[in-house]
Amino acid sequence: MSPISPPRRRFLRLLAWCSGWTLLPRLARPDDDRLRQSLKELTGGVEPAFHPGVGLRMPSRAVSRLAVPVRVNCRLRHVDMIALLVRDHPDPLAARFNLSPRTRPYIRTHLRILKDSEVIAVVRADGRYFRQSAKISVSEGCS
Amino acid sequence: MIEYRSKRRSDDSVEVRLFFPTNETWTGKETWPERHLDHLSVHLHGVLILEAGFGPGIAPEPFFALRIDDTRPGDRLKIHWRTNQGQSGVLEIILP
Repeated sequence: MSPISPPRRRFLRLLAWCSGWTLLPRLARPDDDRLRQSLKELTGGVEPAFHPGVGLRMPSRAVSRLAVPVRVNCRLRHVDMIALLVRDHPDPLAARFNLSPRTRPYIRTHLRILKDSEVIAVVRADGRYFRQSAKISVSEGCS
Repeated sequence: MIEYRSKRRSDDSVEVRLFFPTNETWTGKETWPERHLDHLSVHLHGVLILEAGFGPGIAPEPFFALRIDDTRPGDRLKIHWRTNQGQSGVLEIILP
């Protein structure tokens, strides 16, 4: 096995240093702590996996901050829970729907989002948790 | 008072839309509301088919749409709602 050459080692060290500087302040945000706590309470500590079968549709720019339309339409089987979380909210869990087998895994609702943020849809299907997220800008246009 | 609309779709499911209007005026500058919709439950012939809980992140005039399978025209849907300040109401819909 050949040792890592000094220029490559220096480059990797610089890369790690730069990524640490850019990522650490984001990880330390209190909003992320609240989101992490809400996700933990919702899933019982299980980290939801990203899944393309969780369809989350919403505008990238909101017309109104008080009623941002959000649609969740899942292509997964045996969905019994859909939750919507907003990253920068004081209480990130905006809505949670428990579904019976007679209800389709399809929900449309309106959320209040007061600043640019990210909406996360968490779905429980067959006892496993999946997620999908979308960013939204509310800083332009009408309030 | 809830406004609603229900429609039978081509795949035989029924889409029910619920809208909770308020007579308040919103400027968009408000911070977090004292009053918001807290709980919603939907029963079909007395059987719970959807239960929802909300935080202050829900819109001040909430809107929902859901789709229900295995229904017949004339089936009765009962919707109970409650705010975090204890106001509540019931709506009964006859499905198309």
